[in-house]
Amino acid sequence: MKQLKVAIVLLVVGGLLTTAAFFMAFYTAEVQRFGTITVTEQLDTAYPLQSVSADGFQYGRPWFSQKIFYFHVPVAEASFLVFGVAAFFAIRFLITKRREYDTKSRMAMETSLIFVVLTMITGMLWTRASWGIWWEWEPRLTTYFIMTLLMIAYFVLRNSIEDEERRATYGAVFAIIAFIDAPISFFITRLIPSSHPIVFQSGMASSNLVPFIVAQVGMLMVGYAIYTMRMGEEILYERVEAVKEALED
Amino acid sequence: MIPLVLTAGSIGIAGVGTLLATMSVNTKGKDFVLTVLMVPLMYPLLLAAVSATTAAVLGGDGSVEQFWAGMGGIAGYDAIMLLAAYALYEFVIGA
Repeated sequence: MKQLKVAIVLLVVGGLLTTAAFFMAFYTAEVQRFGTITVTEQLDTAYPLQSVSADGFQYGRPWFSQKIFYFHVPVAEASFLVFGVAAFFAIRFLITKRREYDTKSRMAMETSLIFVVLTMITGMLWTRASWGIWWEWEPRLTTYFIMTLLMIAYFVLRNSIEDEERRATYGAVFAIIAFIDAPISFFITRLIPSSHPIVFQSGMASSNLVPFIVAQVGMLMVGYAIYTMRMGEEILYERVEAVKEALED
Repeated sequence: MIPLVLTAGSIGIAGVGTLLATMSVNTKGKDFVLTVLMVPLMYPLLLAAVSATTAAVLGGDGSVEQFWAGMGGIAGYDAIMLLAAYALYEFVIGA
């Protein structure tokens, strides 16, 4: 119960922080130009072509499309982080074989999946506004999509095993294998030339950094709140199941 | 050059495929679960192998660099996945 109270407080505070970051992003953050994308053919007519160079067309960006940075990046980083927590609990489970770690790993995976879906949605909105297309098969997007598929596969795997101990072990093993993709997806834009921007390489003004950090902290608070609430629900569910079993005997 | 790609690619598929197959044998919808687990995991290997094979078959400017870039991708994938599978196989067998 105490944890639930903490979770509710964190949920409210996290919601307030993300809302504050939303207003800061639109009112105090200065607009920066992160460059333009060059494509070889006109893909979309929603945004006007800026200039035609030797490399191809250049799309102009609506200035507000970069505001998604204050939501997309914190959500994406939160998804990697919570996925890491899930893999950490999976390793703990394999070492100790205690069931609580398996439940924690699953709950962290569920929380991470929420963030992954949010990242996908915000990312697609941004690519539409900035590149003129909804989706492109470039390294970051591809590896992130693979990560999404692996997370969904984790739940498919769990649901198709009946034996509880086996389900926990296989789930933990697959969570660890799936997590290998997360650092690859995170660092791939720095290794392979990619049209996905890397914002933190060149540094940024504090008016941009403050709303970003506020949004990041808010997202992590909301994530922890979701995780704790689901944990509390799961513990109650397990107690109800235990009572049911005891009544049947 | 093509046998090299085939060998390196097969090692990767066998390494992680054995682990996933051992897991999916004990599930309800065996073949379907194996596909769901295997296809996303195989994707990076597949991309690197296709890129290397394309370079080896078509040739032309920069094909050597593309070939070895693809081979590097396959080698990295093989090393990571074989290590992970080697470390985790014991738990899968034990369950």
